[in-house]
Amino acid sequence: MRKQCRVSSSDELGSMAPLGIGLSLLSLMTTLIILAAGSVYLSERRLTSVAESSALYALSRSDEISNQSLPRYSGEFLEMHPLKGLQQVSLIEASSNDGLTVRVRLCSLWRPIFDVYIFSDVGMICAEGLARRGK
Amino acid sequence: MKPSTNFLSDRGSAIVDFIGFGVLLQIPILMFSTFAMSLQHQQFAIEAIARHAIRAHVLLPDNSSTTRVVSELASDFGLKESDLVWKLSCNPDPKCLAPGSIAHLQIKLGGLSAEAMQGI
Repeated sequence: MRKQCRVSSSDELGSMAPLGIGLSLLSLMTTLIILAAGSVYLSERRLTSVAESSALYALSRSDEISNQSLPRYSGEFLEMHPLKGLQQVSLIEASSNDGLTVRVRLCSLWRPIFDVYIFSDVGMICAEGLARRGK
Repeated sequence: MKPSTNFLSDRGSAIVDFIGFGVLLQIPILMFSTFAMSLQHQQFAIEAIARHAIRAHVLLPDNSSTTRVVSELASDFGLKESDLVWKLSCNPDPKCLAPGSIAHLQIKLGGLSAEAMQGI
């Protein structure tokens, strides 16, 4: 039985333990990468929601849309409301090109859910929200 | 069929190695993966419910309508409505009906929670 399993025609010898451990590690890494990808997507969706809400708030507060007042109102919204699940949200842009559409761009730091040494690098994710005033 | 007692030894049965590492290690990993992905699926679901429910409330600021939207979204995602705990609060109008208020919706499902906010 042992010879049938261990000695093949191509003379492949060796323990299966490293293969088994390697396969387990590969499965675990794949799982963690899939979970991390889901976490990035979730953070991006949250940030998009906040950016849209911030754009709507800035639009509703501005009688006349100007590039000077929009960052102030957007920043006010971000300070007023706690941002659960998002870390270090920064306002990159709050502007309007045509005087009707408010564009708010936010960036945030993202950390993997399993903060192990090999994946300890943080990434920055950004999202954009638009709000438009009808004529 | 006798298993090898030395870890680095090449002697022993491949079937024992296969069962040991294939089943004893892979099954816990599979269970962990399934559990973690199920949790993440639920988190996706409540995030989507919070996002869409707050939008529905902003479009039609009526609490009974928002309740119906949350219920329908929960059934769409395969969740029991009774498992969801949600709270809608508004500032400055606590009834969430006046224009200019900021509506804040918080949904909890077990230990998971999601929130969304938008101006009415």
